[in-house]
Amino acid sequence: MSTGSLILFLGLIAVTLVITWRAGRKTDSVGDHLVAGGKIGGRQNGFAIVGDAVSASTFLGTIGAIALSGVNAIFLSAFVPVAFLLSMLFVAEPLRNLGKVTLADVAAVRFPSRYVRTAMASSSASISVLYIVAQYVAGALLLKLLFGIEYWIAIAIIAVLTSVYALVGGMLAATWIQILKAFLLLASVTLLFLLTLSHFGWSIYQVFDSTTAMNGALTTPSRSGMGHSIDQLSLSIGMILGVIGLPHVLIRFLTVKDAKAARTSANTCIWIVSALLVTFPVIAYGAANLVGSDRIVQAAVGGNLAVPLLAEFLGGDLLLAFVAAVAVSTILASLAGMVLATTGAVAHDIYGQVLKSGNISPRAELTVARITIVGTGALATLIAFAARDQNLAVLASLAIALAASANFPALMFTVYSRYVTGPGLASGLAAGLVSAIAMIASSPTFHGKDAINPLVNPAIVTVPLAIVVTLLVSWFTRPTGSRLEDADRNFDAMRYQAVTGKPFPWKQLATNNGAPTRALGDEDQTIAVGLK
Amino acid sequence: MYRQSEQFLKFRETSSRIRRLTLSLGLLMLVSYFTMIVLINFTSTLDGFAIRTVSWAYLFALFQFVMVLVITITYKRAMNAIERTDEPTFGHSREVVTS
Repeated sequence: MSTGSLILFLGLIAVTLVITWRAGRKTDSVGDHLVAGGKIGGRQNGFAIVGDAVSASTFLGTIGAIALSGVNAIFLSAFVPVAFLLSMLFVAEPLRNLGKVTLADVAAVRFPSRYVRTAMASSSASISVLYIVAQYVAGALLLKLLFGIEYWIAIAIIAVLTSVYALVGGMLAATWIQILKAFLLLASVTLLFLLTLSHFGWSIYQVFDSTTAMNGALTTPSRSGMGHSIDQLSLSIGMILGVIGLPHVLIRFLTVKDAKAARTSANTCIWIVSALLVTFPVIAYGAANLVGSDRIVQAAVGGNLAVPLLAEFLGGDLLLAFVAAVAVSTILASLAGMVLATTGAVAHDIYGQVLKSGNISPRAELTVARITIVGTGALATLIAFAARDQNLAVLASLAIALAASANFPALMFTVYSRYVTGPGLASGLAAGLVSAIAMIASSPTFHGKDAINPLVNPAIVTVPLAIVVTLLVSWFTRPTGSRLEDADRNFDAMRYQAVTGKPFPWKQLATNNGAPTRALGDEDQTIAVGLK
Repeated sequence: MYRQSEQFLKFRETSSRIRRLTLSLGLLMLVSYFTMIVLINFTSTLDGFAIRTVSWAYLFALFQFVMVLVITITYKRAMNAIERTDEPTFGHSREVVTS
């Protein structure tokens, strides 16, 4: 890479550090640090979510996959807007109305027991750490390829930058870096799309015609047996539901002031993401035609470097540097959000609410949050060193599978099902986590053709399993008598707050026999306020 | 009991409207998306070319993007209408204080 390209890359890093420094001056509480104090605007947050939605794996991986596998990989492009649409319909507004700084806060509104919060926080932290490791490895490999530096130096650069973003600027910095990245991504995708079309007489049909003439298998679907087809279906289920359970994506809905702003965020994200991803097949076929499948495969397994190679072909070193800088900033920006999601789960949920029973000063919680940021960076660095030769797709698919199998059912049951109990929810979370790990550990990814489990992607089994376990345990632990009445009131109060954003108006509505017969636990401030 | 109060009954009605809206739109999207996945991976229905060398599979994938945008517009408009017609339930306090 040329000196000019290096300057462009370093310039972008300098801009992100200035953003971080400015954001750090406005960040002084735990709420500021973890969810920007709920002060981000709806449209701004929508752009920031675009940053999370179109991660490095989506930008580099999807285009590479379509360039090599053709129409069979189109679902990688189509699932993102669908997943965010479902997030908008089912989780964005209830999450904003119920949550404070973490996903476990949402479950705690209805189930204030420590084991539910611990289960939810552990699941969120595990998913985020796995995702962080996958991004560390991806970022380090990209830096190594682009600048020719050692793997450990690349990991160190990423770890230090990510920790600085999260430590100094918190969620406010992470949000503005994501917004910057979203604009850069829009610019680079638009450039790639237009420059690609310019080589095909400005005709999308011509791109498809050339691809079909070169390799007809790329433009028509192909099938390689029932097992593979079921695996693809399972992957689609996991991807769609996984996005709705990813902590770093969901906590973005807590950074806005109200439910309407959360809806605006999702709405903005859906429009931009749709506009971006609909161009991916054209860019991918452009890469297959102009760069050539052989060169794409040689550069990186899975076609992950198809985009940089196409950029180099279309615009020389300068466009390659720009696209590479966008790809690395994509990884860094997403990582800061993931570190903050982990920090919230550990510092706020496990330390503040479970170990200290909520008796912790804001200053102490902020200190623990900062220590957790450094600890998360160190842990991820160690795992990333060990996972150097690990397949990136395994790490990412494990995180997505855990999110789909554990967090997604738990969130949906918390918000929508009257009949689910605390033990049922915690059991379902555990079943989803354990079964997803067990299925991936016994899959062909690790054991090749000798695997006991033929599925690479476990969601088609683990999501229904988590749902069945939740319902069964809930049925066996169903409350009776006065506890049933309390559970019903709890659910009504939670639904009221989830829909309206206001605490349940007990004072106006309750007569003497309408008030609860049992205290609900002091961890649940929201319900406690409503019940007094 | 609070469940018999007019305010709570009004809230239940609004909540049911929102639930019906989100469920119907969500199911519509899921059926559309998974129809594409099933047709591509299990049948040869979408294998042929629809326009020049653009296959039916691509057209169906493009249709998913259109569906997403149509449902997004529909949901936004419907929710705005619900909030306008049920002002007493939502009031102006949907704002949640964080931190």
